Amino acid sequence: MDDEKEKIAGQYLRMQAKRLLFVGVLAVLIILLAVGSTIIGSAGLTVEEVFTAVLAGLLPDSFSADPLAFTIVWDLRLHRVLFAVVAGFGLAIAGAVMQGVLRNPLASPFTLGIASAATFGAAIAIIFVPTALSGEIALVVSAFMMSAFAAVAIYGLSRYRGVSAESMVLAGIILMYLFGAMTSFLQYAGTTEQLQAVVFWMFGSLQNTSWEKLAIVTLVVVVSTPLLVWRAWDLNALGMGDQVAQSLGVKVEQTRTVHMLVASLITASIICFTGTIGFIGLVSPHITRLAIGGDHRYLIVASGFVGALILLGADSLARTILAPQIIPVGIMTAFIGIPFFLYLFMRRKEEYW
Amino acid sequence: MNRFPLTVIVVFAVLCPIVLADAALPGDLDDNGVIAREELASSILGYLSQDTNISDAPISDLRDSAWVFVHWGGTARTVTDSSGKSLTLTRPLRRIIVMNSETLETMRSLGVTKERIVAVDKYIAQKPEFFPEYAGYPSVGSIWAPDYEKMLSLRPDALFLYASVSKAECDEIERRVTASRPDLTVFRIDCYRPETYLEDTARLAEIFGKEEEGARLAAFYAGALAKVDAAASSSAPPEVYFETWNDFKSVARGSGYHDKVTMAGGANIFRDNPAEYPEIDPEAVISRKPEVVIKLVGSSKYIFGGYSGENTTRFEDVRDTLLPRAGWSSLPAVRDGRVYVLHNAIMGGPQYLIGVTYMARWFHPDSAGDLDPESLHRTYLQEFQGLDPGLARADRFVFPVK
Repeated sequence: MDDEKEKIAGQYLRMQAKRLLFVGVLAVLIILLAVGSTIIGSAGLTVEEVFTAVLAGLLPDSFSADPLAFTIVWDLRLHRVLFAVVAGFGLAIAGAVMQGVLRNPLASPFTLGIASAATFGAAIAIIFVPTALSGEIALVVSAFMMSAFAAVAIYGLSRYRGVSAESMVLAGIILMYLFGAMTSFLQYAGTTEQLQAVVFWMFGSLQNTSWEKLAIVTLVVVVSTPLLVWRAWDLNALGMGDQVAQSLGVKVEQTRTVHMLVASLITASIICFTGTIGFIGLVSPHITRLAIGGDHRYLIVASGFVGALILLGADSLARTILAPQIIPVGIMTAFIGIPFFLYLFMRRKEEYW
Repeated sequence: MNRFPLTVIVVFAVLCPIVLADAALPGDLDDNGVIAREELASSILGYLSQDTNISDAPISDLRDSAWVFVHWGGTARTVTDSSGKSLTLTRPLRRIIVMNSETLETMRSLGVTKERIVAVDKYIAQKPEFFPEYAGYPSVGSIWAPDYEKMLSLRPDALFLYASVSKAECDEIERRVTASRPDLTVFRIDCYRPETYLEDTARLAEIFGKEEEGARLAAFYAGALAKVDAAASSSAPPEVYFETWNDFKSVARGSGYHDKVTMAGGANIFRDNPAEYPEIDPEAVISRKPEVVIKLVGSSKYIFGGYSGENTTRFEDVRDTLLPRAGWSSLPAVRDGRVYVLHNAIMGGPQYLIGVTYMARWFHPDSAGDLDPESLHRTYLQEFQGLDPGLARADRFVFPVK
């Protein structure tokens, strides 16, 4: 009996070590990649120039850098690199939470219509607010409002049938098609140029990041992540089925609603700035689950790290592969994530779904 | 079996009263391919004396044969369009559909008037400032969404489409229209690219018997281009960053804008990019230190100015949003005050000449004495387009004006 206990305890500890190792390795990779992608760029700055510029920004009293290098590093590169990390993290935890709450491996901000709603919002702004100066604000606000509306609508629709996983997925799919159709319809009202802008928005891009946008997104992610992790046990319980969760004292409907709304808020606040960056919310949790298992206490944060790594890697490639040309990052995320995912998918036999 | 194309053809065939234009020369009584003075005379006499023994040609045939006699020396005319297709005309064109605004603009330069045109595309009908005579004119849709029924019901005798621009769409329109109207003459003429513009003009002049007007237009272009060339070769080309109406979307070799920048004597900093319209890393602009920056407006989120003349103060606003871009204070172009905003209306089609002249003046300020783009623009509008030369006011098309 004691043997058995020790064996299980040993297994648990090994699992624990593996999780920590996974997160640790990811953190190191993210830092290395972030440093690397701050150094590399079309301006061809040297490593020394970049480091001096970074230090000059952090400690303006003790270091001084070439003003041009300073501008390139601080006004063009750093916020973009950090935005990739934060946005990748946010999109991935939103995906992990949605998959957990809905017990559905296909759930993601995309399959649930949040992203299509944001696209619709953006299309409205692109086509009907053709002003040069206030255009971007209108676009961000409109995209955010639409995705927030979609999140509330999913909740509202599913309430009619009790807030079950199935009803939420169905409501999400209905919304996805509805917003998709409305966007297509809107495109008939636009000019060729406006259509191009809408299509471009659908690919997603980190071209327009700024320190202000980074601050907003970071705030949202920093506030909501602890909330989601704190209630991670409830997600584990939900994974056993609604009735089991209920009998364990989990307020099923409340948990599901709160988690869905928080995840949608994170997604909306990111994609309203970047356009729809697909794939990260869907695949990061799967990669993580295959590597460290399905315990949401770890899964959520670890997925976030995977997402950050994928998005940062994708954006670094998007900036450099055809430099000085920039490719929309949404195209690169799939190229980066899929080989990784395939490898784990072919290799692992354990089932977490 | 796909019955759709067949159905379409049948529907069209029923809908449109079939006009089988006579392929032979009108009034060529002996069928020798030439309308001789005597043949024309007897046709006219026959008509006037109402003696059907001499000729029973209706007045429309008579009018056509007189026109052919006067303009084409009494013979059919064979012209080659820009796609290399040879077309034989036995009558003047009187019911034309034009789906390409550049060609319509050139026709106007040649003095081809509205009376010969039965319909235009929807974009022409929507430009009342530049095409006032076609405002609210019958429209046959656009090349992306053509209204075939309307086209055929107007019983056109000729259709003008692009030759190499939007080729797939225009090929499809030609294919479908000629399937139900094999006798319809379809001209494929661009009037869009600077390098072929004068050839296209000569073709149109031939089609409409407007050779004199064509020669005058060609001389106008040659004169203006010679001045641009002189300025362009007067000093080393400055490094130019050309940005389209999408932020950080530039142009490279293979695009029309690149060619025009080069023509004006500028060196496009992204000329060697493999994509024609690359989205550029902002850093790359800074590291390539352009001496002149040109921002194109007139579409997308920059709709103002141009012939409509709306909100021309926005030109300055656009320039002011460019200057504070990250790192731009270090650009020679910004330091020297050489950041320009340019409206697309004078960069595309026949009017490229005006945009290029503005650019040449910006690129080579020391030898710009001869270049007066605003007055060139006024001349073009007044003498060739028959429009109010006041429309050419520089502040509607460029910033800064001086």
